[in-house]
Amino acid sequence: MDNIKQEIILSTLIFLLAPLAIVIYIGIYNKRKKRHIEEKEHLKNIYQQELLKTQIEVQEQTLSNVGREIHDNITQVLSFVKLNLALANNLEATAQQQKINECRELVARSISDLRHLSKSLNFEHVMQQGLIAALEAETDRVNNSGIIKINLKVEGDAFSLGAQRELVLFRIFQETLNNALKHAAAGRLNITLQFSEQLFNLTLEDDGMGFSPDKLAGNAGSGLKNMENRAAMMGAVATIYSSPGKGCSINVTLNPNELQLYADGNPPNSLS
Amino acid sequence: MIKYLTIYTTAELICLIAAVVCLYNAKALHWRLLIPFMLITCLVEIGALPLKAVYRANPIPSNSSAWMYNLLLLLQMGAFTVMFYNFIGKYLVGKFLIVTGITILLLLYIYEIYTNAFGIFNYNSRTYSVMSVLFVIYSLSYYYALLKNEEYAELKFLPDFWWATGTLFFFFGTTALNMFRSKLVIQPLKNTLYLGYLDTTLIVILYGCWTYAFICKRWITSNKK
Repeated sequence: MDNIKQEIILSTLIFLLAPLAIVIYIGIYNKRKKRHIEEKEHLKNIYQQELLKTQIEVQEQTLSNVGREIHDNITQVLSFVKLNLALANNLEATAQQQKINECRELVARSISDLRHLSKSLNFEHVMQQGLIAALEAETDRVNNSGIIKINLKVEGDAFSLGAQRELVLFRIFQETLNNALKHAAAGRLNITLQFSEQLFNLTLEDDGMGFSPDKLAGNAGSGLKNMENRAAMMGAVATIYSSPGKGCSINVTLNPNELQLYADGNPPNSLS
Repeated sequence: MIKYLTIYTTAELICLIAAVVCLYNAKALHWRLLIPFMLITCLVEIGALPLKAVYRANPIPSNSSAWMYNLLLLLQMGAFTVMFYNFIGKYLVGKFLIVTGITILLLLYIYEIYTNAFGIFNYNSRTYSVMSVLFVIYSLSYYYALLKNEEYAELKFLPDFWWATGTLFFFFGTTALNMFRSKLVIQPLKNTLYLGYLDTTLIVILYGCWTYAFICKRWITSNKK
């Protein structure tokens, strides 16, 4: 008799403990879910902030390029035109005509340069046309200035990588160009974009003075570190190769099938 | 009057008061339906007490209170099904599960009424057992749906969760008790007391969770205003 009683009590306790265990498990799982959602939200915010920062940097860089172009090119040409016109007063009619023609050509070139610059200023319009169009416009502008020679090569059938990713890639290009001009004293920059179904690859190679890979670890390499971080943020991998005297090569690879992976705050190993 | 206040009826009355206070202006109809459900449950429980005394004095089937509980069983089947339909339906398409469940219960109920020796004067215990198992499955389905849902819900204040939790505890425990009930009722009265204690514990857990769920519901409703 006592056995039956004990059996009943024990079984009932087990039947009470079983739902209790389920409820506790649900509580724990729910807390984890909360933490996961918060982390996801945090990542999303960081992503948005970085994206905004990138956008501002691209615009600042564009304005800075335009400012430099106006100062170094257009202002110089127009000053020369002004000087030519002043000198023309004292010349004979034929020489005067020659000077005027020369000035007209210089003014026409300045107008053309200003037209190109105004296109650069309309940055959003350029980005809307896609990464390749933006790179082509920038390549034309830089090549016209003659400060560096840029070669742009596109392999495979090009497709959109998404506005946010293209913005980050364009910023990486700008940063690389800046480094090539300011620090590496490079004369040539090769840009290669490779499109395939499984992989997108962007390679930026300059023939500048290069640097020791140790430099990446220090503060001097913060711009390069930033490139790596931004690439990682959008699910890409940026690899930087350089050695003194051998230029620098930056390689950005990403899987185009994982588009917008980070845009909703989900890292690649996200649970959800 | 005091003789009608058992632990059972007290727990039910407290829950009824909580339901009236907390749910009378609830926006969702299924929550408001719990007020008449609790009222009828209390009336049946209190109304059955004198009948039980009559039955003890003269134990013939027509004196049994089973007919009242059989009618209550129909109401329970309906009310629980409506609640779970709304809870699970928030996250999953649970229509098939719920419709299949209620169809099985109704068929079994009718079958038992016709096959019982004294018809409605015998309690439909098999229907109740199947119903218990079904509601345990519904509760677990609700938990599953809740966990699968991408949005986070604060369980501490989630009325649906507490209502389902009370239901899960009650029917899980009841299923265990039902398995031993037949063995125990043939034992001396002293031993059947254990059965009563466990029944009471389950009732207190059920109505405790429900009362808290109603308070949460009221709190959420007030917050939304």
